[in-house]
Amino acid sequence: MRSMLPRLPAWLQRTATPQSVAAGALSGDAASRILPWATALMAFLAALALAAALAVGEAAERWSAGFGGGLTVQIGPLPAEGADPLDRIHEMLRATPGVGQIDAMPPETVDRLLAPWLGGLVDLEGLPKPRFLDVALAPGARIDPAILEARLRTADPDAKVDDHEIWAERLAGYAAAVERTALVAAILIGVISAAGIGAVAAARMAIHQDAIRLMRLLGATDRWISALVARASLRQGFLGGALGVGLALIAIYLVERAATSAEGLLPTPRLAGWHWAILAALPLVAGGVAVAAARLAALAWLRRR
Amino acid sequence: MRLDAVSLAYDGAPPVLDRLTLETPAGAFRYLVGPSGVGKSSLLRLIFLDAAPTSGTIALFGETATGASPAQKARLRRRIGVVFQDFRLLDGLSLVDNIALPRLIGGAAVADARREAAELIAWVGLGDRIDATPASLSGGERQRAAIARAVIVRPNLIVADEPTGSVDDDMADRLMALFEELNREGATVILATHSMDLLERFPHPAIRLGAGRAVMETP
Repeated sequence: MRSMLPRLPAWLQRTATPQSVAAGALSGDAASRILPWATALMAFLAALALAAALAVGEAAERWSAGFGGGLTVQIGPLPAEGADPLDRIHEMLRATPGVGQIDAMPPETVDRLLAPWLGGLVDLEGLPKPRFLDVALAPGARIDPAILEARLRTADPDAKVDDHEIWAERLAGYAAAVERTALVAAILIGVISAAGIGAVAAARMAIHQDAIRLMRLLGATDRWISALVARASLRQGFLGGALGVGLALIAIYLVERAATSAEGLLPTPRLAGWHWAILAALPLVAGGVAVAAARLAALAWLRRR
Repeated sequence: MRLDAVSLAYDGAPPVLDRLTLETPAGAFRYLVGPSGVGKSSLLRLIFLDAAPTSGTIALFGETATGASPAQKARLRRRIGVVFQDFRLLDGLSLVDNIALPRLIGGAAVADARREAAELIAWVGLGDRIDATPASLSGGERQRAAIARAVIVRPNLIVADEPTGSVDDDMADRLMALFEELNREGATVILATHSMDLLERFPHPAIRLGAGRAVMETP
């Protein structure tokens, strides 16, 4: 990758440091050439794992907010004969402490939700369909759905109460598990990357041991030599990280765009603006990891000799 | 520089140097002579801290170097200019950066180190090869470059192993004049050579190594 880069402009070359100049003595080996590509692959995988963790976490919060603080009451279809229990159910709900607004689900919404399950083979117009009431709870209110359901069944034996909180908790648990797994995967990828960069640094030291021995004889300390190795790894780690994360961002954008077209069928995890910022900062993290891993590996190698 | 009862043996073989005691005052110029295989290069390695003695102690610039910490050794080495017999130029660096390397290691700014290196390169007659790679230089050019690298830090001690072996007589005279000038300015010079001609044209006391021991000869 180094050879593919254009020569730095003259004004930027003036910022060369003693170590950036001397690092040239440790370049040109196979270990140095493979590092940016290996870092790019690891950064790509880490960015995808991190994006999954961030998106699922955000989606879980969104879904929980949508579910939380309410109940759904299902009652039987409009009876062909006799009194409709709907008014009585309304009264009983309004009399229940903690119950806020009550909204009946429009019949067309019920039809739209049922249609995919019936495959369009059945005429929904003539079909007896359950009715649903969306019941909002006052802030902090808790209602035992089993007790409420038993009371409502005195008015309509088909009445059922579905507590949103239970679904929200299950969803939050599932999302947290996915989020944790993705985060662990991202961290593991980082650790494996660091180990790989350290191994490459040690290989580079072994390949250039004559040059390193000469630098020592000219008065270089182990700290100076390890900083030189770390500096070379910083450039390669950053470039590899930028390439890998760039590709990952493109992949994530394409997945989001594809998910948008399937919205409504599937829950769609989305990345917020600050999520993109975190992902865009990953090359800096890759550079930092490369520096730390290479420096530690170089110091360990030098201590053994 | 003081060596006190210093012995050096490699991997259990008979010692190359056996209880060698040697003291060279600061500012001295000494040739190191003796037949091939007698241990001249081993003695130089001990002096520029590339090897540790099997027994005995070495002191440089009034400090005990034997058993010194890596940081202390690095500090001592920065005061020594070494001309290696095999030159040891780094292929990954241009000629100017090879010569500037000891100054860079010493913490000099890149621009300063390169400017000083360029002046020295011109002085040793390689001004038109400043950006050349070491691989493209002839043996004589590499030797001149190795000498330029050894003296760029104006070392207190110059250790040179056959520094004129690959150059013509004119360049040899010029390089010897450089060593003598640095010696007049206070640097101690230890120069290993096989050249009797050099000893005659540039007379200085010689340390003659034989059977692991040293004998001082004065011209």
